Amino acid sequence: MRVHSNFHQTNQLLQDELDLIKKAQKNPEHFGPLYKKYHEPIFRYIYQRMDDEDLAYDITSQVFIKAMQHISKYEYRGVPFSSWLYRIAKSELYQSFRDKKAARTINIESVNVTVIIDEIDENETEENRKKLFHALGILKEKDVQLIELRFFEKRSFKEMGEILALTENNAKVKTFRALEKLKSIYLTKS
Amino acid sequence: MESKKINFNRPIISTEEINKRQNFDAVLMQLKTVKPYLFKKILFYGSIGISCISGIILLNTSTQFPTIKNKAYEEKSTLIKEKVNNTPVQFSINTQKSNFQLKKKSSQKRESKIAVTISSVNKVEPIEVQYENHSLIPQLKKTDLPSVSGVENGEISIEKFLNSDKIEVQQPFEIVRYKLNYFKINDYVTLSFEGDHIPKEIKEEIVNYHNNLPVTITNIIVKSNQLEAFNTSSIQLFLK
Repeated sequence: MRVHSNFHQTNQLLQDELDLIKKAQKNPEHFGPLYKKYHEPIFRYIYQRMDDEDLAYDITSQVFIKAMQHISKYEYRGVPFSSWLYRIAKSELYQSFRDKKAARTINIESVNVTVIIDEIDENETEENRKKLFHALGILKEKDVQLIELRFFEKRSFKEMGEILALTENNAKVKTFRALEKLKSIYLTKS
Repeated sequence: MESKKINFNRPIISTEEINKRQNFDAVLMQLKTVKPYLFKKILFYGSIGISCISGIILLNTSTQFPTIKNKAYEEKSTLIKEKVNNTPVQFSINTQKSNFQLKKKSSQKRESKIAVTISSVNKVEPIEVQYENHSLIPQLKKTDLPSVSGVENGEISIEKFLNSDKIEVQQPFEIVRYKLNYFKINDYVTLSFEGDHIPKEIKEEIVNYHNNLPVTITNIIVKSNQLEAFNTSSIQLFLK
């Protein structure tokens, strides 16, 4: 599922967003517009990686509570506020996996299957689809994260870097390697 | 997190549905109920401070106590060592089921206790450790200090030096050994002697080569009948 990324914004939009952040830093009650803007992307990011819808809403709320608690420490670095929120979301999400509250789930749509199988230079058949699912199940979590962000959510390498605390180039290299590992597992199965 | 569930074509939740679940007021309410972090509380800093202070006090007392204890122990052990050195030693061997047979007695094995004494020991008695105060041990008086022809430190005529056979010390003390340090040709020479005698050849050598440099007699070990040997003050002589 392609996400409606708020990552690429004009300077004016970034500046407007910074004004909202400064207001929220002074008073958390002014966080409302930011909550409204980012609630859906954060929820989709979380729900994409788990199965329980209600729990996904709860974790989303938790992300915003954490963000409001620490908004005073936020420093603008020329990238959208969403990067900071995604990092909090990632942390909260993996905390819920560790606490066994939620089970890790890979949600994949037929369009994404086509893209990945195409990357592996194979034809999309029922059998190949099963092989892909099996390979994704075996792939290490850090590699799955990269595949999800790049091929399922269609995020840019720059945004991926911001979410995963990597440089744009490093995100690119790591994604390539993750895809190679997926291919290797897929081809071993055949 | 090892096992992953894979959902294929899961129904998508619409934006409207997600927006319906938005509730900023509830989030704000929850934020107000969330307790501040522990490190922000005064209580946290207070308890850290108290534990630091108590730690320092504990550390101070624990380092002082063994020092006093060790000092006392060292003093005690030195005194015991001195006393034990002068005390006859007792050996006793406890043998069980020995093969000794007594005359006209049954050959039945019996337990016996054999006391083995060393010839120097007259009586087998348990060691009684007594504590003595060091200050009670008699010391040499200033007038009793060892000297060469009555000179302890200072000038001595060559004639007087050559006539003196030994290092003198008042009775009941006697000199056990000493070290003689004198200048010969280009360098200082140190010789050790047993007893109090100064050999004639050495005296002549000193007189020939002293070159107005002092002659020192060090490590003079003195003993008496009642006391152990001990080190006494050195002698420094200038031959004139």
